Amino acid sequence: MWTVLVGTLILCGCGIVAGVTLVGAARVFAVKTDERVETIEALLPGANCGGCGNPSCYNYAVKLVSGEVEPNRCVLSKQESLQAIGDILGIKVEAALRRAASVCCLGGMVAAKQYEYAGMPSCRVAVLYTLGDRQCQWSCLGFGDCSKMCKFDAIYNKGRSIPFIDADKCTGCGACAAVCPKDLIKILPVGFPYVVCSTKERGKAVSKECPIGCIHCLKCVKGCPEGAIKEIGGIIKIEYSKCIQCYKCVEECPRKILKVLSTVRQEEGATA
Amino acid sequence: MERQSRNLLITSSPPYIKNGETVHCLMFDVIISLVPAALFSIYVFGVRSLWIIFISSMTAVITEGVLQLLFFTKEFNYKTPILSFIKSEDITVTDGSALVTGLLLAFTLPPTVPYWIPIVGTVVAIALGKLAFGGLGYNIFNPALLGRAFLLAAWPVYMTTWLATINADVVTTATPLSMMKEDGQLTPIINLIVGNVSGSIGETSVVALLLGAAYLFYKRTITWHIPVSYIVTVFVFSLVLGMPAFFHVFSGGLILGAFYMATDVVTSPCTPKGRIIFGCGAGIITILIRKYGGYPEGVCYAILIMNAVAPLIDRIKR
Amino acid sequence: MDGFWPTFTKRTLRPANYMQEIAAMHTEGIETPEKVVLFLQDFCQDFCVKSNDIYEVYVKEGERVLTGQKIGLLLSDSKKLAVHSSISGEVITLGEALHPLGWKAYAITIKSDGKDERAQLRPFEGSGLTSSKEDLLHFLSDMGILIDYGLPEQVSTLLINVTEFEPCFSSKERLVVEEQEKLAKGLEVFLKLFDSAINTIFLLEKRHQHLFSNLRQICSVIKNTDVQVVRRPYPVTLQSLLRERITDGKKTAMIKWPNAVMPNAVMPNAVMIEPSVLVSIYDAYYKGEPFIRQLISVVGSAVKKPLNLWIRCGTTVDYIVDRCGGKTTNVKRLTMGGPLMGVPQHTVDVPVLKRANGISIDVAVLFDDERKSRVYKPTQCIRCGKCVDVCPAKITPNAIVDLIQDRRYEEAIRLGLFSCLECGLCYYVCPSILPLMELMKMGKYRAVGKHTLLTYNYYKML
Repeated sequence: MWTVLVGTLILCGCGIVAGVTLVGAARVFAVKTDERVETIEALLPGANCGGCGNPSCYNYAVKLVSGEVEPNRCVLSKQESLQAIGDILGIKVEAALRRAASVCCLGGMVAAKQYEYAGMPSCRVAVLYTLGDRQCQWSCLGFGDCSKMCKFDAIYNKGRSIPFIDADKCTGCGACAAVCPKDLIKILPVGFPYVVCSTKERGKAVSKECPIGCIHCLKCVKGCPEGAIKEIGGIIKIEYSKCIQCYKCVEECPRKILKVLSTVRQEEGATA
Repeated sequence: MERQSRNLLITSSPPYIKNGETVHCLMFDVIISLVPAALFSIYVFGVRSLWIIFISSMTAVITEGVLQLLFFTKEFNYKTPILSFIKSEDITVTDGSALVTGLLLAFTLPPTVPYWIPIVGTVVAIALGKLAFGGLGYNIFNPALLGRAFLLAAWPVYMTTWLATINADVVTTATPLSMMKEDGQLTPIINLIVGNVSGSIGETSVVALLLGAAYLFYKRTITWHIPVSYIVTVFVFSLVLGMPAFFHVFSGGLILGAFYMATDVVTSPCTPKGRIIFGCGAGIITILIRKYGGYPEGVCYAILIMNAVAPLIDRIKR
Repeated sequence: MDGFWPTFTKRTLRPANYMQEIAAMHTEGIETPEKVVLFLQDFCQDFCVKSNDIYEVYVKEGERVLTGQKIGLLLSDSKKLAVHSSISGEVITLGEALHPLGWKAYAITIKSDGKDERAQLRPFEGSGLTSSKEDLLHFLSDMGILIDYGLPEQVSTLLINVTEFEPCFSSKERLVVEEQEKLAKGLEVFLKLFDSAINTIFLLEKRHQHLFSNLRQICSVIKNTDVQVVRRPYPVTLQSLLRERITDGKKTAMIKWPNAVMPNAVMPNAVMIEPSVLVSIYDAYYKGEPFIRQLISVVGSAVKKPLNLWIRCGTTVDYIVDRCGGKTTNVKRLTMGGPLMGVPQHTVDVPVLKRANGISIDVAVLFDDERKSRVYKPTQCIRCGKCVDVCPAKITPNAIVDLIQDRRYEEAIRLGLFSCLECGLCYYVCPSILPLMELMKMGKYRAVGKHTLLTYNYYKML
């Protein structure tokens, strides 16, 4: 009995001494930091996605406090938390345009094959052999390298198919666009029209390779009342600063290649 | 579509040929090479050693199968259990690595242990030594040796009760190494080589083990680097410390450890230079434990310590 | 399920000679194919894709050309190379055609008229050139023979690579057996390129020891020549490494010479050439015949009879398939250059590669009528280190591939990603069946930046 008591006492004593020492050390050697950094970091999502251009949320918070960056650079935070950060910093936060990733390919597995691919199921490997097994150079390969990169489960593939991007979950961090070997994924503002085909060929050359590709009829360019749509080097580009979201181009397009990037979307793209 | 009717060629990255070797093959090579030692142990220690080997390997396979079923499978169709068990990509019991672990663990046990000892040992070896790290390829320590180390720490009495040989009565003796350590008594080398000594199930006969090792070399399952460097280091280092060198090379589990445990592909370095460093380190630690340590035998701990260092060796000696 | 049941056969670390019987096969020739496609943009297969974009065309569409007539010129930094028509006939198209390396390149397509009329032969003797080094190099490039590794000043050793890295082909063997005299004379001419006397070493594999006497006969004719038997064959791309090493020593890649392969541990002053180059040098120097024909091996399960064929440059593959008794519809897999390092093709309309990688003129074509590989699923790496054991560049493929999968390319480069020769042996021996070589290839492109590949292919559009 006595030994048990002594043991317990020694153990408790050790604990108390260590605790007191640690508390003292924490007080004495405390590094002075801005308290706002911690509160802001708590308000940030903490996903360290890199969407704001900083390696981690902590770095972003430090930069916020020093006034180097705007709070709306964070693509993940909700409006309320951005407001709260603004309140802490004493600045007014303007709502940023919400951006989401979108795959600019409509055909994908529908495009004509030029060979049977039997290698490793990875877009980045398949693209080494004449840019994939489709005749169209700009077709999505559908092995889903992008969906493996996504930290937010916003992209998924059903077998070999064009990846489906859940714009609700997408934060526009750009990890998928960086990994796509054909640059088919673009980070575009939500609520605006965009072209779901990346081909630079025209007319017959397109319809030979892909039955649903953009044939560059340029109806969208002519139909735009603001002149926001232009064709530069074979690509149809929309200037989002000029766009008034009238969606006339979407109505004009005979092949339904222009679509509106909305957060509530139907699953799109044909599967093989 | 008329385009699809065209003869499409198959394209993939160049190496179109393969030498047909799989993980499965590697593991079964090890199992085949263990057969002579197992037969010899049955001859020496009787049917009891066969039972221990059987229980240990079966437990290993069952443990791995059940744990992979519980924790590793993502999609499992319980309506067709057998078919989906075979076809599942996540269940890799069939590659034989669990069987090897179970066999090797049984080889390190004394023939007198109760039958529950190999069961506990293999469950620990498979669950903690292998699957806790993520399965074959991820484990840091040799699972069989981890299981043995656990048993030696938990039930030292069972693990150090040895059986005298050939006339397999329940006469307990000491192993050559403990005789040497406690009484300074040397066993004749010829007895050590043939296996006419007491010891663990698989470690006694040098001849049978070398026969299996020859098969492994023939199949190129293992390279010479680790066994040779290990044994040479033990020989030289024991000479340096003034110990009987031949006795130390042939006694205990050194041959078993050098050819089967240390050459475990997952836990040893992958570069030739790294393997030589690995073997030398294991040899030095073995002799240090045998000379100065509390245990008479040091192979198990030497290999486990070097396993922990293996990733570091890999990093230095690319 | 090959590989499931344990077998007692020895596993080789190197591919065995799969097709022994074609070693004894005499070479045959296809004289005039119906059409040939000759490229004026030849791409380097080595990494750092770069095209010789500058070219000159000497013919017009519809013009009649003779066999051996100079029809174009390929220019790059300081080198130039003439392209000759390999058949007589009519130029039908000038424009882009599918290159065997996967891109579209500018090419001249000539349709045969079946007569095979020869242009005037211009041997070196009557050409009025002096026997100086510059003139000889100029003569050879005018004849379409590429000595593109810019011979360094202090060459001390010339290595002639008679080893065959790919398991199925025997074109080099046949060349040594049948064209032994041409080899010797071509070597004499080639040695004129060097100022001082240098050592010449024929590298011969152990399994080709029956060639030893042939090579010894060559050695007896030429001074300072020797035959060395090496244990392992050289991958073709090792030559490009050698070239890099000669041209600039500061190349970042950590090339360690495999001691087992090289006779002496390090040979920075060595030049390695293929025997077929010597034969075409002989043809050009003594007969005045430009480089218009090449020796290829045609093997594979879709080919009725494996063959060594002398073909005209630019012959399309479907013609060769017909010639070898196969049906183009039966061909399921077409590879140029062998089962380990070949270039996969996706159509049978492509012409045979004129130069596999800028040096070698040896090309082999492999047909298969079915999928042979990829029956296994890749599993987790078990760190057995077999890939490290076989790697001729002495790098650790398993560690590099791990880093590539984590997209840590800088560390991968530090471990020698760019030393990889893409020889395919790591995949050949890997028991986990990891696609090591595909990942290495992918890593090389991604490490430089994904846009190298894209801009390269989009050049015509931008």
